[in-house]
Amino acid sequence: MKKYWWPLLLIMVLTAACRHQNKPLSFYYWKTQFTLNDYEKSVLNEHAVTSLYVRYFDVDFKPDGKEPEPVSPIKPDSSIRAYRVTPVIFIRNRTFERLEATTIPMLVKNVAFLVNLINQSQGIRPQQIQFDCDWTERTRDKFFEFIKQYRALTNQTISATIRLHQVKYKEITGVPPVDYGVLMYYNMGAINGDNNNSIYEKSIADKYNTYIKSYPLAMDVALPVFSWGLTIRNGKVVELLNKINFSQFENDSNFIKAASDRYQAKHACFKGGYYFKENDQIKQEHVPASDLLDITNQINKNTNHKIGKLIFYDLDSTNLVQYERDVFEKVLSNLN
Amino acid sequence: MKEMFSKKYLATLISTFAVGTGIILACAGDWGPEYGTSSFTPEAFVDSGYRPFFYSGYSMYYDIGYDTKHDSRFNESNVNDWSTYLGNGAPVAELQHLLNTTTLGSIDSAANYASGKTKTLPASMQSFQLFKKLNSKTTSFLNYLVLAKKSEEFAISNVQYSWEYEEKKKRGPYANAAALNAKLLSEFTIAKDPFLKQRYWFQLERSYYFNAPTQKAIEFFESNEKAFPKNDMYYRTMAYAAGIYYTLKNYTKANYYYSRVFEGCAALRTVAHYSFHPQEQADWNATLALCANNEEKATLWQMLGIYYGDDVRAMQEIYTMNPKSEKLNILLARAINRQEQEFSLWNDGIRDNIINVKKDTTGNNLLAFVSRITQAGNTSAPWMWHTATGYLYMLKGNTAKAAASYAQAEKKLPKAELAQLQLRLLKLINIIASTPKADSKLEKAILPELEWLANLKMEDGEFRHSSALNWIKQTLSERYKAQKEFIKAVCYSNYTGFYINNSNIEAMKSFLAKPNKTPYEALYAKFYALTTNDLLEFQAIDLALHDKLDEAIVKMESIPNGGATLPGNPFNGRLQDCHDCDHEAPQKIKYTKLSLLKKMKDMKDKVKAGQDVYTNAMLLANAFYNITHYGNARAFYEGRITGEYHYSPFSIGNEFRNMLTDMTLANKYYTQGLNAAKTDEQKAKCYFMLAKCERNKYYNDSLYINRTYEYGDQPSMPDFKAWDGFRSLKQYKTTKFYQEAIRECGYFRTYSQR
Repeated sequence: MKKYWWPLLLIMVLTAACRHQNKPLSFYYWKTQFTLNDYEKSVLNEHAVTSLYVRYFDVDFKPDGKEPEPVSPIKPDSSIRAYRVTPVIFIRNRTFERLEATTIPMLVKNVAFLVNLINQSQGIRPQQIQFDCDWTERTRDKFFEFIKQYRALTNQTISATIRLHQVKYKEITGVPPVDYGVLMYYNMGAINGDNNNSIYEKSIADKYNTYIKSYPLAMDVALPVFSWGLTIRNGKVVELLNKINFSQFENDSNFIKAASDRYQAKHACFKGGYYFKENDQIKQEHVPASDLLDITNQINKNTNHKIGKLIFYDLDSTNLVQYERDVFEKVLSNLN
Repeated sequence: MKEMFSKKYLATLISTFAVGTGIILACAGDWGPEYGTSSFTPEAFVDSGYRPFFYSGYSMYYDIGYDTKHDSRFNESNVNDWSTYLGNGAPVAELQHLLNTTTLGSIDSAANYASGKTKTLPASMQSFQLFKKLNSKTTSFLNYLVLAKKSEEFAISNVQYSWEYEEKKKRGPYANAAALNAKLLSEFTIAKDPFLKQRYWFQLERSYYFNAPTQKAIEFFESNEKAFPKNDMYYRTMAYAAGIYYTLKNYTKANYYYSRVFEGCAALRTVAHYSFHPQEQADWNATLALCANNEEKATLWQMLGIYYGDDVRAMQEIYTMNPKSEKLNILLARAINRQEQEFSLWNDGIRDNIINVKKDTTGNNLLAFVSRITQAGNTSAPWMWHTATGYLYMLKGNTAKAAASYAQAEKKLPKAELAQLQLRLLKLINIIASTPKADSKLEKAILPELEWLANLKMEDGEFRHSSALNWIKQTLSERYKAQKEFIKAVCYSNYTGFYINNSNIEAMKSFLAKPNKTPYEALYAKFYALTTNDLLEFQAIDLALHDKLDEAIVKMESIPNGGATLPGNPFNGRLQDCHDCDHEAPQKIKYTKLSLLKKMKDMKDKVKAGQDVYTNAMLLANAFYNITHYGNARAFYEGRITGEYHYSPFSIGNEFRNMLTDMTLANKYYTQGLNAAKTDEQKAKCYFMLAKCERNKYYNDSLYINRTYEYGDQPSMPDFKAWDGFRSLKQYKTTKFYQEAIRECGYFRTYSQR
């Protein structure tokens, strides 16, 4: 019996080694000033993160505007130079609803111009770009044309965020002409203040999972590590509370706990820069570590191991401190 | 000179998250006006200085969207101020040029010229009157302007989100701040003229704001502010002081000053509003405690009401301190304009949102509050409160109380036109809402009012009346329908069911042609959407689709030009229907609706007379096929009654779907063709065409009959059916037509291989 022991161990070690050849880990950076605090730096160091997806600016075509405009371009500091950066441009879908097809070349040039300015400000030379747009059947042609022309102009590797509904209804919304996609495995539900979690809800994810396999693009996957609050007034969500610290409601006599994930304003008051009317409910939504692991199980089951890398949304210590420090490692190693 | 001091304004408009599913906030209707469904014109009640804060369903600021005047807000008032200071010798055009266009270099040269340091003026200014009569005031002005232009380097952004944004913002700190501050301070100290002194005070405070030191900014403002009159310049300076307090996280003081700016300077209201931002309840309480009097507190509550949408709480607080406060007006208007959106419903007939009167608990709190204050009768504008109370009662279906409130409002109504129009409109709605039956008494009562409303030449944005007019027309139409007065019903709101019955159409034609209509008849005739020609054309189409070609021709002949020209040859008969192919194909003869009918009539006569029956019957059958929804001549039946652009039979109105998709006549004449056919080729063709009719009928009867099948759940239908026509066609395997059908029609090919 003893002589079989060694080969068996060898196989186990090899398998384990294969399993632990982790995929790369990355983060989205989604604030208007690029500057990393010590906690954020330490998390990046610990996980040997070398690449970041950095939101550069939004593009919007406002109802009262004459042309698409950049909104809140990022102001990076020199710490950005330590990372391989993929600029991310969020384009509001209404931009393509209003844009004339003939002006796409102008938009392409403007976007490339501003991306370049921001790169130059820190002397970095990204080779990739990512476009984040919740495009629809009505805007797909213009968005896809924009991507094609952007590639023709810059010759860069282009990726796009892909939402679950775009995976399920790919015959209607089409598949963008990009080099790879990033599957946004969050924000799948309606933000309506009901008892579902609008960031991640398994029952909703189940409606989409089976379609992932047949999506004809190489894909990375983005997982949510953010939380937010919803202010609910007369049954309707009236405000999104970003990055709000939920524990501050605990010892405030203006609020009572209405449910495990909800507080209610006893009196109208200001709190954390927000105003709450009497009887407003504040619902917390976040994705606990157990759900992150569950998501990777779903992805393992439904993607044919096609996932290239894992990107967490978003890099901000107020998000990261909500988790044990090893959660990223655990989630990553759980992904096949 | 210009300014810009809303730094955080730039940081807050970012896509917070890449959200896939947005939250729908109070968005009224589907891209209607930003005020949604509204019959309550805020301009009638509220000072125009509050216009940006009128309720808007989707904009930051009413009418203007965003505040984009950071660099230009005071251009005009600067010119006026300096013009007054300099007196008669200063032409406005020259001041405009110097203040708003000229570069620092040119101003520098001009100042040197004025002080005698140089002998020549810049070319662009050589003709200026200002330099012909130089005096000490002109010199002071130019010296000031040199420093002011220098300050523009840091104080002006020159960008409104242009693509060069990054480059322009990347200026870095202003290098000569220390020297500039010293110079400004010295000018401020030696200035004797209060006008000049205050302007230097402003310039230096602004420079401290942008260039530091911040502590000095605070001292400089606080130690001098009492010395100056409370004019725009005072509040512009105060706004910078507020900004400094904000950056020092002294939100209490920052918000207090912003509220003072909001109250004191209408031009800066959007800026003060945008910057006003209490963080914690303690800041807010402390800000209230800073107020020197109730009037200042009232402004804070007013800002809270506007910014955070808690209108009722804000009004309550202000009212308790001062029932006569005019700060209540904007809050009441906003509360009503927001509340009306809850009483709005999509109406299919009007294709728009209209008022939806409903008797439930919606808006009870607001109504209770507003009516309590109205009854107390101690506000500065009782008529506004009575009108608001009446309107809220009316929306909730209590027309008696509404009428009583309107009567009270009338007693105290101002003479202003908008006030008069507003009450008149609401009273008219109420009269109709309160009378369930549309009888002659009601007609008499509303006749002059409706004439007034229908002839009103004002835009809805000036006086909000369209939604009310739509509601009135729809409501009267429904009343008349219930009373079986269909002519009136269809005039007030057109509905297709009316045209099913030909006697209705005849009655309508007589009504339209009637001379000497009564004034009320003339009124509703004017509302009618169609003309006699539309009716005649519809009758002609209807007759044609019932094989009554003679009569159809008579009707169609009475329309100018014989109706529209048809895009393809209506006598084509294809194996596979292809409308685009037919429309693109060259045509020797272009048919109008009328000439088609005449040609069809010729063929029908020939069939009857036994002349070349096969050919004529087949062409006639093709034409009857083509003038249905399945054929290439849909244009024949398209009109203002039947509708147009039907993308599928589902999109045809229920009343006409059967009429426009029916295959009976095509079938009838293809069968006659078959009966007259002599050769196998001819027979084969007939059977194929009959199969097409059979197929269309099958889908009419099993799919299109049920509207719910349009989206989603469709009935389980076989993928394949062998039509009788195909079965019969199998006998003619040797014909050329059969071979062609095999080649062209995959469906038939599949069948033939079974």
